[in-house]
Amino acid sequence: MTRTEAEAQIRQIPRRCRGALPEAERAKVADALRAGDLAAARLADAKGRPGCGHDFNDVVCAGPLDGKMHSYTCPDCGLSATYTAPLYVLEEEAPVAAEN
Amino acid sequence: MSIVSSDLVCYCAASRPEDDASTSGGAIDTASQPALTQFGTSAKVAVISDGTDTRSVTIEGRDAGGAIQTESVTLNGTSEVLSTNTYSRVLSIVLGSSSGTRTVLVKEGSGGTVRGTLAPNITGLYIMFRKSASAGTTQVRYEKLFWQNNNGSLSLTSAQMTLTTDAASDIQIGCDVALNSSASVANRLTAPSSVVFVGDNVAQGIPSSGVLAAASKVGVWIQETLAANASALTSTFTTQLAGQTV
Repeated sequence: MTRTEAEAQIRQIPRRCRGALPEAERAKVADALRAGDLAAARLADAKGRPGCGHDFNDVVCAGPLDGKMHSYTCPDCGLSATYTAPLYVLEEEAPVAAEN
Repeated sequence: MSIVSSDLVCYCAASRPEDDASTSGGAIDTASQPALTQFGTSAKVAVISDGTDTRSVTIEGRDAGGAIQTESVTLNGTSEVLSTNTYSRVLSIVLGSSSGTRTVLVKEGSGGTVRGTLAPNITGLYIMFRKSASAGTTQVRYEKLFWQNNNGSLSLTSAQMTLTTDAASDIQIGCDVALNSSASVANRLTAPSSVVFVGDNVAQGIPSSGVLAAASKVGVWIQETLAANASALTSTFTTQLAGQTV
């Protein structure tokens, strides 16, 4: 698989930044989980996020496809976190000969 | 009738390793669910059915000292039955046979918080990454669960898969690259190929242009990262499948 083909496969699944969850809201989520109230935890998570929408596949495709964890910062909302790149064994893209 | 939330059900994968050598992932197991939340404190396990029910219940967990304990109790219908052992964490609850009608609740102590529900046709509840441990170096493990659309005819469209909570911040998730996949990995230390793992800050679509047809399922790989020499923890994470319906 070439890098171009790998990136096309990655982009077949849309990924969007949700925006950061503030610490106070994260604490509410943790409290709900400790109480076993999963619905309340999910709601607190959803309500606490400002939303962003940045195409996260741009982040993935700009980085190495090496199966390793990488840090990133969302260029739209500034959220810093980590993701794990997909592992692809990439072939060289064939050079295209042309005569002008 | 539109798809309702109860149509979207989370199930275990068939290969649920308890060690770092066995196969992980595989096909869906619609008799098992990864749906046990952890106890707040050490307690006996209480089980209770919603009707006539004398099935056996096998409980596996850890006592306060961390030792694995296993026992079997017998349901007594709508009367609560308590385990003999006290558990600091429960690893699995397995019924001896299936029932198409009975629902069994698993509680933290007598009359306590419900920590799991064995719905009709479900025979097992399992936590993920059972018996996994940190080591001198960072340990990354991979197991799989499924979300299935159990609606009889309707497709879930614009479907999104999200890690909605991750109390310990050690989980990332990634969808299989195709729907209805039975992909597995040789062991849970082996990463599935071509899967992008993201945390709770990213919502992802599902394969097949975000359409989960009736009876279709999407495999979701779970990545657990334990830092070097990490302390013991009991934690809960949640995933969510959402979408549109007519």
